[in-house]
Amino acid sequence: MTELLNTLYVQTQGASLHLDHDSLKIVIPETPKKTLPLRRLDGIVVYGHVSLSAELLARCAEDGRSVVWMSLSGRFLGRVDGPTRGNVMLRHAQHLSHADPVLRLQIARSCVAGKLQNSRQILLRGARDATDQAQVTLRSLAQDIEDLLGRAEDAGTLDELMGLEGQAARLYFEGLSHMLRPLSDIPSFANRTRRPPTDPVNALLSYLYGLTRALVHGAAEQVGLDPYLGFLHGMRPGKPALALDLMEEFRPIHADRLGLNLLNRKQLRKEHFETLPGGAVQMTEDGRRLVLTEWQAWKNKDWPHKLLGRKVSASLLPVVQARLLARHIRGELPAYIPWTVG
Amino acid sequence: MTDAAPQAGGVPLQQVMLSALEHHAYCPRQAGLILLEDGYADDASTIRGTLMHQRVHEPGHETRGAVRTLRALPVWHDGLALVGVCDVVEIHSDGRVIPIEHKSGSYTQGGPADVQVTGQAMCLEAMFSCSIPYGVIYSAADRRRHTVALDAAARNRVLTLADEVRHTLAVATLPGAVADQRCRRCSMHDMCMPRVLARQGAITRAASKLFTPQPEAVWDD
Repeated sequence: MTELLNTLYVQTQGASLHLDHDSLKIVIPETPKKTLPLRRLDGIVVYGHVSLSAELLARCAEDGRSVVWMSLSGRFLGRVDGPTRGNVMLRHAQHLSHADPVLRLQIARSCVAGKLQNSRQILLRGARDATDQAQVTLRSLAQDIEDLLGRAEDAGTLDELMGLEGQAARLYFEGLSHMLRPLSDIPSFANRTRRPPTDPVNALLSYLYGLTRALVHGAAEQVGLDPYLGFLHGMRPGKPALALDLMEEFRPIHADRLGLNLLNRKQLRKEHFETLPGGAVQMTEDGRRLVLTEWQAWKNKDWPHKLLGRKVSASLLPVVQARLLARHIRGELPAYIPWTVG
Repeated sequence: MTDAAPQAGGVPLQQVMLSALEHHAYCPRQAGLILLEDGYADDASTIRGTLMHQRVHEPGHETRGAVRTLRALPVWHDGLALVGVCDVVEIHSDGRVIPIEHKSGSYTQGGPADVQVTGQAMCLEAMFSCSIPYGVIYSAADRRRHTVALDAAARNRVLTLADEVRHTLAVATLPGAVADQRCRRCSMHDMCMPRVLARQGAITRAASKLFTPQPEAVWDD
């Protein structure tokens, strides 16, 4: 049983982490030292200027405990995860499936279907909570995504599929703007901007996508799939295309819905964001701390998994899905079935 | 496992681990997952076993009276292309050689552990040019030794299972999932997904509905 363990997030600048027997020692200048038992941690995520001792890194690699580096703004920088896991047969099969246009398109379609199904659920859920015009708009956007979902089934090429996915994303983000309560002191957002985000909502979404990506990337590694060889996202140096493929079905629930809740409940407010000279927007340290706390709780939430016939925590869903994909790639399952909330 | 032992007929025989024989005897797919998917998962009982073996597996030897006890002894049989490690081997002054396999769980007569100790004995016979009439399984749960007779049937079972493991390695395809009561006690359950694989119809139905809008979901968050 993959045990549900905690992830340690460290964002205190200047902190350093060391190995102390079977414990992790956290040293922050001018504060008392803290230690944590390593065995309760399944991963360490550090932001910005945090250093880890070589002994700690080696121990984490040995135990298969991932260490992830993120920039202060939450952009994924890299990770170590010990020896390559899984097996050469699976990776070879992944390459063969990728090279087979029919199989590749079929898996890519599953990824898009998962994303569209879950995006649609977010819009419908938003419509239930909305009134008047917003409700009408959200239902109509959900209907538009339904139409795109139907067309995705018949997409004959990856370009066509990507085009449909892009259209759905635009409709979906338009929907998100109707789901943000105007009571919030944070300006509503018009459309998705990234690299860099130029408003608070986009800054928050980028941050949550970074967290989701680290989780899904780790799941692919854990199962032994090559995170860089994708079906929908293809392959490009430095781009974890398979992690991005698997992430599509999780974005709406894992990231967007959590972000909406934090804003609509006014847990995140204007003072949690700062605008840099030139217009880029990022979260403050307090803002990030709040998001990480809520993210850890969100990850522990159970969600129904129809195929497994049981509930699975959000943090383990990507592992389950990566395993299902591996079983499909190895020819044991006739299709890849994405996780859907419905 | 990658080395091939020379065979009299000229075709090298794929070397097989004695532990793989035990896994295969329990469940061919479990052995396949370990050999082909490089997978291994621990649960409470496998960790209990590992901790117990840490004590047994300190390589070394001691002599008490008429018995010399060897621990963590590497054994192999070139002709049969078998290789493994014995937990404990007792060499008695009267010439008897007895492999003793330690198990943390309780003993099942005719179970997978019997195969392992039989294979160990066959290796030891070749290495020490002796004949071994019985081996021993020590069960920590039962706190007692169980004697396993190494008759022709037991030896044939080792050879048959070794051939089956070689077949799995050669075709590089996982044996099918059993999805029976064995799965409940198997630490590899999550990786294997026996229930999902046994319900191929459900997968096909789900695949046919991928692009059909699903009913509105309700959840608390």
